[in-house]
Amino acid sequence: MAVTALPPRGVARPTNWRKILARHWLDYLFIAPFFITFIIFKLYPLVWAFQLSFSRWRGFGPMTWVGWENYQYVFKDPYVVQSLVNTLQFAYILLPTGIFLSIVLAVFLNMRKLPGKGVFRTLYFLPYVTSSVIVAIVFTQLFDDHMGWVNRGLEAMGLEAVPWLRGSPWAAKWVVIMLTHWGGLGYNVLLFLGGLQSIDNELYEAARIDGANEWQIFWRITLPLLYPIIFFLTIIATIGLLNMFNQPYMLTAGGPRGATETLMMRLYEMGIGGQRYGDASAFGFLIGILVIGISVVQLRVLRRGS
Amino acid sequence: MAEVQQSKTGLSRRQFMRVSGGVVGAAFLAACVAPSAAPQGGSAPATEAKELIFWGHDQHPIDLAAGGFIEANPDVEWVSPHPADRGEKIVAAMAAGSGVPDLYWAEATEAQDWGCNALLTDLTTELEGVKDQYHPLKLNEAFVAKTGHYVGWPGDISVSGWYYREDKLAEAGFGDTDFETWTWADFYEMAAAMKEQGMYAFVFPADGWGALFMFALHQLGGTAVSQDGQTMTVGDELGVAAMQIVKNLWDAGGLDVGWWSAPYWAALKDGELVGDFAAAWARGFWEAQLAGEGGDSESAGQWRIAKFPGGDGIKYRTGIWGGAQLITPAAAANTEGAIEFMKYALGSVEGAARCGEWGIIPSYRPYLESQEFTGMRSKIFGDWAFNEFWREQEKELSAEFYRPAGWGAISTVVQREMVPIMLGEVSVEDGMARIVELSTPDFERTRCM
Repeated sequence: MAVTALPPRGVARPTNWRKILARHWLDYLFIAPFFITFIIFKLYPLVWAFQLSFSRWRGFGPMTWVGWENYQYVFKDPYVVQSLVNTLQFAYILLPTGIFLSIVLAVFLNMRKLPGKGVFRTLYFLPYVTSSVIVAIVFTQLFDDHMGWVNRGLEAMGLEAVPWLRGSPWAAKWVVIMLTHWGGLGYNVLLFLGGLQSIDNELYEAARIDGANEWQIFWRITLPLLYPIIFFLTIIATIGLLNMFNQPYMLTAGGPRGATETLMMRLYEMGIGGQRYGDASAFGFLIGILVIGISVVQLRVLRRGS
Repeated sequence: MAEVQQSKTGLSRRQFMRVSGGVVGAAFLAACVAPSAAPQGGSAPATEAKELIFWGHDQHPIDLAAGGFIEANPDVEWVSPHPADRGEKIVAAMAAGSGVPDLYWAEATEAQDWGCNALLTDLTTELEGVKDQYHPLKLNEAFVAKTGHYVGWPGDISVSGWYYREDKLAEAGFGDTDFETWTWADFYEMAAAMKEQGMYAFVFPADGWGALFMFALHQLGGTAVSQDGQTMTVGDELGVAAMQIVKNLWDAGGLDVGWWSAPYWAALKDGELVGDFAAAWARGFWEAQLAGEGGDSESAGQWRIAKFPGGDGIKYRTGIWGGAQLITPAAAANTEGAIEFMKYALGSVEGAARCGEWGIIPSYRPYLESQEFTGMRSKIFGDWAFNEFWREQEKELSAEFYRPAGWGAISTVVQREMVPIMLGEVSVEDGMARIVELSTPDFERTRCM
């Protein structure tokens, strides 16, 4: 029986590192590409952006140290406040409605006797794999205030046209919400469908024998067993929605009157549009803190709920 | 024991990794030390082609001039890759001091911004003897007041006018309008009357249209920023008056479609939109949309352009929109070649005529007087000598309108904040004060310092 004597605590073991490196150099070599790219393309820019967030720099010329000024500027910018409100509105409308609709659709698509089930599943997933840019262009044609098909349809029915994209802030928000749902529901449905199919049928049979109706089965068996997926989707979707950019950018460019400008769009406008990289870096870190903060709160609340 | 057995039957995991690692490493080293392609034997060609790299959008007018330049300079190789996001790329390349093109088609504010930061080649000496051949406004846009240097070659003149369909105007009962004497009040009245007949005299998207404000400001002899680029003047009395003109336009009723969107072109083709304010360079887009592949549309030959309306306080009967210029970055590899090209494309009748085919109007005055310019015809205008109109409009340009660094901060806020003014939620004066307030932080961060 071999006994390995451990060195006393606090004593440096330089030779161990060399031994480990000599023994595992090839292993390290194989995992190195990830770390090298991470350091070059993630860590270094992150550290550099952090430094930049305390400086004034427009992409050229000298970089001037300004301390907390950029952060103060971000807090004072009224458009930042508006974009935060818009983003939170989008997130907290899209999140619950998205999960609710996905569950409903997944239950519907999981029905055994549903004819053309495969076709429906494909159709629901199709928007997810379609380019959001193309979808946004189609939506622009559909919802154009003046010549859109939707308004033409409303007028044909004797109803008044709605200024969807340019004239009404709330109408524009709803079009963005519809577009986001249309593009994103397929993925959520797929996850819920997987979850539904993994539920053991014996649980349903036992419940039916015990006299439970379909409603009770859904609330007492299906929904609790889908909770891990709801948990996962809530966290992931919140992060995604707080970083929302494509849909409003393509559909309304943030208008009308900034009603659909999200945090990411404001960041883009500040950094790329205005070439104010210092302000944009500070804003980026503040968004990061916000996303982490909201995610942590959600994690705690959801864990408690589970 | 198991490891020994495994090595007899095949590669172990560790051996596989070693072999793979070795192969990848060898391939990497081979790639690193591979000799570059060099001419095999013999001597180098007697005249080596010198690259002239240009960055601009697809189907660029400057590319048209390149053909003539290369005919005269066969040792030049024209490289025009049309990169996407070229604005961001050139800034990064100029900051790095390498990878820049020799020539770039820069908007006025870009040239001012970069010139202020010493990123562009000084063209003062080259322009010194030829300044009288360009309008002062175009020279101003190439001149950085802070450094006292010219950093761009005056490019597209970008004068503007009111495009309209002659037949539709007559149909609406305005065929005898005297465009020499008409005023904004006449225009509002006409636009409102045409709207009642289901026709629109101009486009005004419901989410705002900042270009209209800049047109009006130019007409009144105002400017959003002072010449030295240090003071915002957008909120002065001329700014307020300009916004009042825009508000009156809104009240008269424009067509609510996104500018140059698919519905815009559809309305133009359908005869619903029978006029609009646009720059001279818009002609190319009009032609592309209205004279389709299958022949001319019904509106071909019916289009005309009128001076912007006059009236109280109006000093100039045109507006400015766009109007880029050629610049060469200080870090460019072929600055000499770039300057020679500028002189040809924007400073000779032959080069300007080639660029002018596309729709822009190089501001070189001898070209504006030439037969190549005035004799040009277009499907949308028929036999009408539209360039004679533009030549007269050049004389209507204000020399007091500036777009230095920081101008972009203002134009962005104007576009966004004009809607509450249009809707009457705030007065024009209060709205302009808000525009000044909201523009100030960004202007202070982006002006020439």
